[in-house]
Amino acid sequence: MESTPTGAECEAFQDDLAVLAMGGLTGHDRARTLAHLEGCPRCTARLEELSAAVDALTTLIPEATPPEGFAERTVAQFRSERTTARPWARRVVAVAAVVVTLALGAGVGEWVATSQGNAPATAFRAVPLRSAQGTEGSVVLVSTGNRGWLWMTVHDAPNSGTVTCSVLLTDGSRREVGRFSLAGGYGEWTATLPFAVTSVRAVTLLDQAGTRVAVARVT
Amino acid sequence: MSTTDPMASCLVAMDMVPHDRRARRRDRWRGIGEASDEALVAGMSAGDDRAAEAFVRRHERRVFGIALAITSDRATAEDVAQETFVRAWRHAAVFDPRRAPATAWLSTITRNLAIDSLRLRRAIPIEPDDAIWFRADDEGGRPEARGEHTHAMDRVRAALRTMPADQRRALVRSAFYGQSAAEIADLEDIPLGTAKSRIRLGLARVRDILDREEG
Repeated sequence: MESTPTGAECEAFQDDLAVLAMGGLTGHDRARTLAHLEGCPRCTARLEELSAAVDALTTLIPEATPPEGFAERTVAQFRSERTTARPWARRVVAVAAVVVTLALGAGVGEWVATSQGNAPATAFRAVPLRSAQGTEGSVVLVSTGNRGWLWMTVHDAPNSGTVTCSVLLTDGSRREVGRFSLAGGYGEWTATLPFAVTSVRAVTLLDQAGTRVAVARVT
Repeated sequence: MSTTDPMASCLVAMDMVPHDRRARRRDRWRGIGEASDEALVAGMSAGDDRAAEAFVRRHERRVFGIALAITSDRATAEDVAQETFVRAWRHAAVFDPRRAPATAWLSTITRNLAIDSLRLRRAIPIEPDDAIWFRADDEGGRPEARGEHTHAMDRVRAALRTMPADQRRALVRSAFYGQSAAEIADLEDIPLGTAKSRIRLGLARVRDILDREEG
């Protein structure tokens, strides 16, 4: 079913849509194109088709056998991922394995509370981070006792450099959480939240031009 | 929640274990090679090493193949492939199989990491290798063994062979070396608009072939 956008305004964006699907659109062209996509379902559908075409090209690449022992070395790397240097992170990760299991069982999009021994009651919420351009990542909102923080990982963002992380609260206000770096489209950071974690409705990532890169919707 | 094996409970609760296997819980790991990608990723998100290893073994040739084709260096390709699986491990909890299959997810991560490594090593080839799609895999055959989409993939390959060489070069530069339209224009000594058109037309040709397969 042909779905090439035919509006005069849309025609001007067709070149940039292809470059965007490749992950190579930056700067003003990117900002303009993303702004157009916000209001154009045809071009958004076209972008999805072009992204599928890029995936198809990738599928054509021949397979190759990795060096001997690759799988074992890789799984060993996973195990070392589980031991992290920072004490608070170690506690979070240790509980997270059980929490994620609980969260999956309880259904995506719910607060999960757990407590271990003498540790204060901890509540987690894991939310996917998404954009139409394929930015993916995750946001984990954590509340322990009376402290709250956010743990964000971003991968596949089509840009690098400084990004601003902000949250939308249930009272409608927006708060900037901090500025962080993406390198090669990837980044990972934590930030304390000076307000109740349960009041977060959405977490947004903005690039240096103020354009929205990705959103994680909590409610 | 107390259970001796949260992994098993999780898989059963999520309806990811086929019905005929539920009765054989003790033997469930005999069939791990037949578990779906979704089930293996669910296992990884719960920290299960066996599911993780099965997932790596299932997809390592695909991931390493992409990394090697783009970076042309086995040591770098191994690093890229390993990092791809590490990221999959880290983000397994938020992988959504309804949005994309695991292979597409992994391929995208591999491609992005391979492109990053080319830039870091300043190793982007001057001349794009547009035979990237026409080589056989290292077992001497075509990737046709994957079964699905064979017919469509043959037609895409045919479209790549018959499209103008400058469009094919633009596709490789953009999709697999991560070069911007401006960089392509500079390297090929063409106007920026021409570079963008070549990318657009080449990609549209691929998309049209896929569209005809579905229609």
